[in-house]
Amino acid sequence: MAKKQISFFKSIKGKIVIPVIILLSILGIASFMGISILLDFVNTNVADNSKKVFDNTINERIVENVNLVYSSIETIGSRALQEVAFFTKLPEIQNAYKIALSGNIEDEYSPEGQKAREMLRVILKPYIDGYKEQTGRSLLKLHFHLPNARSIVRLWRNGYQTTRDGVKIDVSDDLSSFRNTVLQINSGSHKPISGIEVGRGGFAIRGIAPLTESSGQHLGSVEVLFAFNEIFDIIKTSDQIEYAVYMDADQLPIAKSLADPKKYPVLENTYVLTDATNKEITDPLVSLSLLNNGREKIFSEENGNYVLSTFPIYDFSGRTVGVMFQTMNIAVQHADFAAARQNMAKLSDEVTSGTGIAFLIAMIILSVIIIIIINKIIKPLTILNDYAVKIGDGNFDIIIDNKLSLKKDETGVLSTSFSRVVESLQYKSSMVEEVAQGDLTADVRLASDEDMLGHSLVKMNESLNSLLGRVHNSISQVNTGADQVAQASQSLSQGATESASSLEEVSASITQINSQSRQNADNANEANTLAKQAVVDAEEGNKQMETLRMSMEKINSSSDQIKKIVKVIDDIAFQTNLLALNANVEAARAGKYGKGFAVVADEVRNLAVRSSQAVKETTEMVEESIKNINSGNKGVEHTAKQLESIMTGSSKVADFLEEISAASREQAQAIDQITTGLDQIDQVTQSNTASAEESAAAAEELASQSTELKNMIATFKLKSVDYTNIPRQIEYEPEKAPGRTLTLQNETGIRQVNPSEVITLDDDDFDRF
Amino acid sequence: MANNDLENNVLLLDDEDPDTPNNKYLLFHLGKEEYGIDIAQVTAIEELPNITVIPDMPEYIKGVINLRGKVIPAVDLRLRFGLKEREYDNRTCIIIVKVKDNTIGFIVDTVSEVHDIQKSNIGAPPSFKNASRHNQYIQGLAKQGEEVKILLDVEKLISGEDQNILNDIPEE
Repeated sequence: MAKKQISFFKSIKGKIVIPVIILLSILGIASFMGISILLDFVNTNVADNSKKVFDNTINERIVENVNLVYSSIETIGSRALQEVAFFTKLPEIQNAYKIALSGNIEDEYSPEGQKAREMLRVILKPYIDGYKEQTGRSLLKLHFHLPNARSIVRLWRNGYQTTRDGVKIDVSDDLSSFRNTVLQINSGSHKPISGIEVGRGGFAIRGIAPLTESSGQHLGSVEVLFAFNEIFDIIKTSDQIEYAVYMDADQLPIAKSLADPKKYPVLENTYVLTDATNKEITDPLVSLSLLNNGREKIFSEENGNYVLSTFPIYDFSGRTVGVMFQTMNIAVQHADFAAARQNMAKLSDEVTSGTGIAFLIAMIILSVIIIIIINKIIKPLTILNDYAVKIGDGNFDIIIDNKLSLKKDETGVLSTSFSRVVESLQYKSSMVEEVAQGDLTADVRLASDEDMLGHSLVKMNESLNSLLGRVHNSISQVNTGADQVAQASQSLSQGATESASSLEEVSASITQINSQSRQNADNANEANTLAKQAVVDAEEGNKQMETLRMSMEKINSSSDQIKKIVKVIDDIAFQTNLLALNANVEAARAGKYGKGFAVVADEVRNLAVRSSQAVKETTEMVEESIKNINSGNKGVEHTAKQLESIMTGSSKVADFLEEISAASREQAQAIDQITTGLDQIDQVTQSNTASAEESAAAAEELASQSTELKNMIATFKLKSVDYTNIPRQIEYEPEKAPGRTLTLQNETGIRQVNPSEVITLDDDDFDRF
Repeated sequence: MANNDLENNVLLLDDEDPDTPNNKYLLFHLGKEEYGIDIAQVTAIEELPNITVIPDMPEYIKGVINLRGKVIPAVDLRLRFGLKEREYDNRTCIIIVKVKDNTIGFIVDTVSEVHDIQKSNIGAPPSFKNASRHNQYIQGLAKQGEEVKILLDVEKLISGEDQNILNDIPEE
């Protein structure tokens, strides 16, 4: 057998190297991918988190800014209140008020009012001038009101109070229609108020305090107001932040000075822009929805580089009267953020590629080491394989190199074991050689209890011994059997001949039955024809009966006619009788002269009586004949019925006969088949006879062949085994000389049979024909 | 007595034949019984014609008949004799009798013959103790062979109240 070529993939080297390399590759790729996924994850997470932080920072800044707006409104409000407080208790002012109140305060042209107004202007001039000089602000907006919410004087206007139809007039004009703060402080609690209120000029931050005399009398109120944009100085903390102030458009009827849409544009009829820190920036960014969203609370959204936020403006009473709009430029922050993210991505890319290269190098080094180790293991295996190939080719003439066995590793152990295998095989081949020589006496030495081949050899030895012994025995049995077969064949031949003659007899009987059943069929046919004729005859009889019945009916009707005629005759006879009697009466009356006439009358009467008698008899006879006809009619009907039943009976008979005929025909056919079957049996019997003779001859031949076999078996050298112990029904007699034995042994299983028992031909067997 | 003998002699002289008209009877049937009437009293024997019913008459007077222009009362003899009534048939006859200018019809089952009855064969009518006067019209009983024929006296039959009734019926 040629040395088998192992492909690299199937070899141990392949089986170790390929999975290791694949495993390493998978490990490398997986780690590489893991690292890149991890980096990606970290990247995105950091980006997300920093975005959140960024947003939170911005939001915090917005809230800070809004709080600053509200606190600055409050600060300015309280400043106004502080400033106004200075004027509440000045006696000169109170005196001027008293003058004003002494007049009709409802009259705006009241002279007392005018006087008080001028007094106040004079008294307060130094305050106004001082304020202007020290603060650098244009004017202190100081405003005095009467208790009925009329303005007594506005100290920032020079010698007039208000403008009507383009004319400046100096009157105590009415404020009650729109100045809620004034109304509130002059009625009720007289508590100071500060905060935003919409006036003619839009939002104003006001501080308003009551004027109360030392006696406790309420004189009116005084107010200091600042423009809303005063807070811009406080709240505009950086260049990136801009503000715009939007007042609700429904405040326009009060804020009449803002009624110019060119100066104060109206947004969607809802909001009026009253002030802005930088219109160029805020205008394009504002929208109605943004402002509406900020009516309730702070609202913010990002728009490009800007964060836009809106929040409500509350007046002194806490009512929302407008919305403030704030823009924050976050372009710088955005740029910083983007740069940071880019750096991060670059870093992760570098880490990824570095890891990949490291894994590749590690893998190559590992693969080389593994291949060297495997080669060391595989070399002894290759040598051992060459030996195994020789053994496989059936060549056990092998000497194993000691160097291999001396190795301390697994290959050394394998080599030692291999040596044992070779030794064992060499021993067993020598044993088989002995058997081949025909010597079955040798004992086989076992290498161990598990020595399968050894056990098999022992078994083979024993089996061959036993088998050949049995073959010897069997040949004797065959001899005997052959004799018995010869005898049985002869008996068989004789039996076949006997059955052939029996068959001939059966055949003759069958032929007779056949002709009888055909005769039967013919007879049935004829009877059928006769029965059919009977049916026809009965029908004819029936017709005749009908004719007879009709004739009788005619007679019946004729009898009725006769009865009528007879009746007429009877009547005539009666009348004749009457006539005769009358004649008699007449004759009697005639006395002796009527005597002769009386005789004639008597004669006539006698005739009448006789004819009456005849009539009576005729009637009786006619009635008798009618009665007879009636009974005849019944007889006819009865006969007709009987004829009909004859008809049906006859047709049934015909049917039955037809069936009998058909059955007989079928019978005849069946008998034909039986005959054919018998012929076949006859043939079989004859061929049986021939076969029996042949088998007798064959048995003779068999006996001589078995003798020859016995001689051939004698060439084997057998162990002296007691064959009687072999589990077998046959007794073996080795001492007996070879030859034919004619004694019959029941143990052979062949029974001597009587041929008549084998072929039993009962009548029952023909049933199926 | 002598008168009687004489009378018999005269008759014998008139006619030697012993069969004098007095001995001729018209025989008729009412049920099984046969009755006889002296033929001298009979005018005619007729088949039963249509009867016109007369109101308020005794049951046995069935009404009147028109016989060749003469109106004659018709008496059902069965009812007259208190026998069971019988439906009339084509043998039913009416016997017209005339007694002392009274003509009357007797309805009978049927007439049979004119028969001579010797006087010697005629017996007296039965005389029962309590016999009502109604049956005085039986003239006698004639024996003939095994049978007995009841001979009626027409004159007595239509006398009394019957006569009165009959007289009420106008003849023409």
